[in-house]
Amino acid sequence: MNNPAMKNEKESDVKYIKKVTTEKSKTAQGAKTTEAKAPAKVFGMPCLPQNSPD
Amino acid sequence: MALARFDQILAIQTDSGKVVGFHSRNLQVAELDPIVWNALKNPEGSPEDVKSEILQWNQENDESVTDGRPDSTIRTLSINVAQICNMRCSYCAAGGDGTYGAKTAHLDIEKVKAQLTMLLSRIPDGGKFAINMIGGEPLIYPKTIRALVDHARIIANHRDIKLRFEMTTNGTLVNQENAELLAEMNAFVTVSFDGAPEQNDKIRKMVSGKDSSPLVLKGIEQLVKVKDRLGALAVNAVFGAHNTDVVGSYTFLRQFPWDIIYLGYAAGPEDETVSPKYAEGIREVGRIAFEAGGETELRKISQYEHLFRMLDGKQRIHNHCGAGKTLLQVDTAGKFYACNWFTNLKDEEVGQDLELNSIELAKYQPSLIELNNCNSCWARHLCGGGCMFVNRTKTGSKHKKDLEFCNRTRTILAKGIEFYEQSRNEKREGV
Repeated sequence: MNNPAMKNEKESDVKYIKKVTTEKSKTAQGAKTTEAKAPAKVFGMPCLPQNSPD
Repeated sequence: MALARFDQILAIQTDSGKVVGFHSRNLQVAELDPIVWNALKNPEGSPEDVKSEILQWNQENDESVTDGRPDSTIRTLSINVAQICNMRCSYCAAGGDGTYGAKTAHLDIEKVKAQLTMLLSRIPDGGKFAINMIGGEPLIYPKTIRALVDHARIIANHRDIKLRFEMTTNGTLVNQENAELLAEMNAFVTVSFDGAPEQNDKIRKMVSGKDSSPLVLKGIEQLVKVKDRLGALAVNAVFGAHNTDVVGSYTFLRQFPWDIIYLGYAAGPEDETVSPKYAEGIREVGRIAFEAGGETELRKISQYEHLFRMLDGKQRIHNHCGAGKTLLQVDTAGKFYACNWFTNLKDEEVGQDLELNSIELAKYQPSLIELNNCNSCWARHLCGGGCMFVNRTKTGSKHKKDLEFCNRTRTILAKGIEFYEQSRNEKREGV
């Protein structure tokens, strides 16, 4: 699986499962408001995971 | 919506008939051809190339996905500024009156300053630290808040530590002066407010018995005036047996310029009937938000913001939250707990004054996913094994999962994954 050529060949075989890309630049473009102002982690209730570096 | 599973793969058949896939170890989302759904439902009669592709995806190991294990450095101190409150909310989790059963009007400022000094001394130069002020109602004592902020800033400034101040308030005491205090703190403010007056005032009364919403609405007005100088402005509405009208609350609340809308759930003995209604409400408000403003509007709802952040961040979590790991709570008597919901529970104390009990803290460190045998659950790395307070409330042990919590969480996450696929596909296709 580490051989790039082999990987490309495998990906070209994919017909039924179209993975979503998670390019962060696209994400930021699509969610400018929340990216700019949303809390980097949740505070108060409900408590949610706080494992991020922030 | 219907679900199908094969090992790491979850398939979600949406109400429109579209099929969305989720790889639970790799945190990948995909659009699936309906033939994949049929193959998962009826493997025997499905074409070999479809089965082969499913197997290939299932076996993939995405090395860009990391494991988000907390490092046990306390980076947030939550402070009960007061264990009294000027309100009497019917569902109050802090003992019904903001006291947690241990009424102490005012904390010992010098004691908390010393605790802040101790915890900040463990943060490396240039690091980050958050101070979360709650109660009771913290704005009963604005001078105390000012004193704690000033103290923390003196220490932080010397060592280039970036501070963040957070506050959860009922909003009734936010006059111009208090709003200015919060703005000067660049505070991340959460207002507890359950929706339209006719909805909110049934359950959130002042001590006098009067309705709280006229005061809260005035407080929100003050906060909106200084919003540009706040870290963020959020609202927190609580649902449960006392109120299941999530859509009604959201429809009212969304008129205000919140950065984040928390629509939380108070677990209780009626969960079997109440919890599914709540989860359905969260799904429905997601649909309303997405239709109105796509990803930006959807991500104002905390559950969806959190999910999108995790899927974009590609980090598997192993615990639901940082309680006792990156987060500590201190009550007005100077006792430490893993989070505010454990306040005044004797067997959950993890320290007092300047002493932290490493034996007690160790109980909060293990992976809840492992303790709860969540490894067969597709949502494990998005959920982190459940909330320890809900676990304790519902099962008697903070380490033993509550199945209603699991069902509620999975229902909401599945809908969120559907939105994620839709949002990313729309961007890809330029819709």
